[in-house]
Amino acid sequence: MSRKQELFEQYIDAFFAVEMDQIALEEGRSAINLTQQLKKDPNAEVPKAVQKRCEKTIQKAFLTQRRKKTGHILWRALRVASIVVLLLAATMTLSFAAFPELRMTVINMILETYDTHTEFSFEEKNDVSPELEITLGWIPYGFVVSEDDSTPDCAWKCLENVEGATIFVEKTTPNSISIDTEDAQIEEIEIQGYEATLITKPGEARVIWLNEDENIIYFIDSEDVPVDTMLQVAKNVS
Amino acid sequence: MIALISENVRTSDDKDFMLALYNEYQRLMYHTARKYCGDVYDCEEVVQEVVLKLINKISLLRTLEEKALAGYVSVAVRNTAITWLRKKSREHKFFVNWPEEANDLPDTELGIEETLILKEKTASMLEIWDLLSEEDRFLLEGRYILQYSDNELAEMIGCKASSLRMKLSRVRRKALKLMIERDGGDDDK
Repeated sequence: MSRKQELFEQYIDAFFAVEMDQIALEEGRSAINLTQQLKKDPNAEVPKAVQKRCEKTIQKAFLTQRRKKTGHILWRALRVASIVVLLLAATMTLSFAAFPELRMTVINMILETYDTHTEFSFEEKNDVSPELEITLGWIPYGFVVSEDDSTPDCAWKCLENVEGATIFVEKTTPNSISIDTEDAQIEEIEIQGYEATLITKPGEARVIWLNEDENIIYFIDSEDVPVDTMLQVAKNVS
Repeated sequence: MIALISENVRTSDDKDFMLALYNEYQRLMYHTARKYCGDVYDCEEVVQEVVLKLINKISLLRTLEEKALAGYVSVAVRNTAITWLRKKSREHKFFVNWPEEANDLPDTELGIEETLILKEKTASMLEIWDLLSEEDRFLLEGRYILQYSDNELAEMIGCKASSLRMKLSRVRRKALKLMIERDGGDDDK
């Protein structure tokens, strides 16, 4: 295709884009009028089952997007982590050899608070691979497991009910997790004998804790679920 | 140290936007789907499919003003219903004319001469819209209103992306000829 032809093609394309915009606006005018009429028509009500299913589809789609983002970030982080592990291995080998007691799990939690979120960083120096399989000892009535997946360093399950309420349960090796804490209530509680942080906002509740014995971080993120229900899940997860 | 970041503020915003959009237009969506699908099951599936398509285009939808947004939703339902029915039955009336090699018009885009005429004056697309076939409108809406890529559109009509470009080229040519003819006809009056 010559340069001239290419330019003409772009010209035609732009011409059609403008013309079709008028079609879209005309379609929009009709659609708005029809929408107003349908809102007044009791016979035009969408069946409840269809409504619920659509709302659930929306909830699930965004939950999946969030998981994909998390997975992507985790993967990038893992590459960084591998470098850190190598450095740690190099610097700690002599110490381990000389002082076997250093093999004990050493984990520190560092909190860094920003305007919109708080970063929970768990530093670990441990040569034991933790068990990541999630067992839900209690599932709230009406909830089903809609997602169950894992990566080498993280496992998660998602519970959903027909109203679209979600409880996301994650078990991961020590790392750092950023949690939205803007305008949130934060309190220290105890879960399964471990210190935990509960973060709540209207319609949202999250809890995070470190199981020092297992060397695992538990993170539960819920939406449109009573805090007590979410905590009940937390108390029974392993 | 591993950095696992759970970003949810942005996605929550999009989710709220999508839920609001759905609540506003759910009746329109269902009503439009019913026009094309007699079967309640098909209708439900079409609406589901539309919701997913809208989610995929959410960044575009957020830029549209009210009329354009309503238009987008309406066209998306119609487009999805047609695609759904096409998949379900290749013999459906809307889809008998998706020839892989249509030969009613040359394959080339408008010539320079015709393009120059275009610069002068033509009727608007609105004036000739009803003269275009259902298939032609489907392609133009898919490309310019729904902003589907060649691959997305090709998959919908079941052809290769290269054939899709050819089809689009023919449809544009057809539409332009109609616009030029219509405007000439008006001038004669």
